[in-house]
Amino acid sequence: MSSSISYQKSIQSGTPTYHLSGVINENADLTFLAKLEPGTNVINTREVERINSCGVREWISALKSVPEGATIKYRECSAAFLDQINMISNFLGNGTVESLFIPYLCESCGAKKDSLIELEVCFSDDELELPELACTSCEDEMELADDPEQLFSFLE
Amino acid sequence: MDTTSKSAIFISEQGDLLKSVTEEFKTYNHAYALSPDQLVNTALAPSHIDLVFYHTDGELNVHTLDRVHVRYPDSEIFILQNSQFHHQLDLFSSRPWLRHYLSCLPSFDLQEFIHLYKLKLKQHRFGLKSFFPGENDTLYLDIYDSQKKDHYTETCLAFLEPRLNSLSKARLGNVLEELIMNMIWDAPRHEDGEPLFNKISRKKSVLLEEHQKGRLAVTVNDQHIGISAEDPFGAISLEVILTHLSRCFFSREEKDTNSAGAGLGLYMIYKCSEVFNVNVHPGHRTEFIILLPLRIHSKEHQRQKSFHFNEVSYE
Repeated sequence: MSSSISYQKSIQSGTPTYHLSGVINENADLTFLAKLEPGTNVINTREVERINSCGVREWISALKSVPEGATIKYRECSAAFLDQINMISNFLGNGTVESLFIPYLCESCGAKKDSLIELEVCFSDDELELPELACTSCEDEMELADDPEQLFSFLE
Repeated sequence: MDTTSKSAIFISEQGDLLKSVTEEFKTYNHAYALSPDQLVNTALAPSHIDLVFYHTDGELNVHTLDRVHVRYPDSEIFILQNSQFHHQLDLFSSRPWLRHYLSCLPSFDLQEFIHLYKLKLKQHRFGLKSFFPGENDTLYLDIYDSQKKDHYTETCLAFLEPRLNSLSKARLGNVLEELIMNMIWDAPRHEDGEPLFNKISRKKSVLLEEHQKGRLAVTVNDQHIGISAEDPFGAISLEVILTHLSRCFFSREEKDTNSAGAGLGLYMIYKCSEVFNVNVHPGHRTEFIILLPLRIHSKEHQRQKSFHFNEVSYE
């Protein structure tokens, strides 16, 4: 059962990293954004399951409290987080996306898999080149289960 | 007999009641009254029977019921026994209009039945079933408690889990939650039409009374997830919907968290949906029917997004 968003803070390779999990909704406590440290801060949204409209407002409002000098890198963006990035302007604040999960589907056997995409690797010179993925069940090539233009519209 | 459209059958073991119903039903092209014996000999095609009402004041005639089940497997069958409604939940799903009908019991009211059946005919043309014909597993939930908002959403997601990828699950979860919040906070009205809860913060709990409850349904086929969200208020208008949507599409205005009806939720539902259909009976009922694609294809294979607003009214 989903619960309102929570976070765990750790230091990874000297960088403050916040792992968010749960649902960003009207009850979300996002005060951690006001306490981001100067320099780069990583926000990992792998476990963010859902963001409702109230959560979007809370998030955008909380981003305004990010201290000057603190920047955000979004890592392992979940499908729910990615959807809001593409739907809502200013959802990233002053941050950038480093990596994200995108869904793949095997047309032969119906297997589904989320693949982690590192933008630095797949997106260069305004060109997006997604990796090929072999189905672990039947070894056929898997296809992207969504429209790449919509998935990556935040890059425009 | 007109067998070109969906019909209802009323079966009664009571001769007098059957006679009076038959007389009434002669004025409708879509309703038939039969005795249990006539059921055997009547050539009504299975695909044309939508509703069956079986009325008995004695023991339940299981042989007749079996006959009805076999002949009309896709029909909804409601049983009235000893003038009390007996709803076989393991076989059939309920409808909001039927809840209102139940409030007329324990005595069977023929006029009320016909009145509600006429409404049902109008609604059925645009209901979720019209988008998902045939047999599809459907989950129904009554929506009334804001503290159970996540529970409602998670129940629907679990029901459809095997069919979803991560993106379709995320989008479905978003749409469900927005529709639920609309049913709880935005839709309810005082008798004079004034909003009850939409100006209060979403952080405050709301518990709807029996007559205020909403109804959520989810289903799926090979192409789409279907969602129906009904409320018994009929308060939304085309103007309101378009105002909210245009504001979100054309404005960079940011909304205060505590403000009411900012429209962002409606916008999110619209963005995720392939079909956005609203049926409104002003002052009585609203139904959002939303179709989400199970999978979004590349642009050249995408379907055109569609928007429908239907006003349903009593004659």
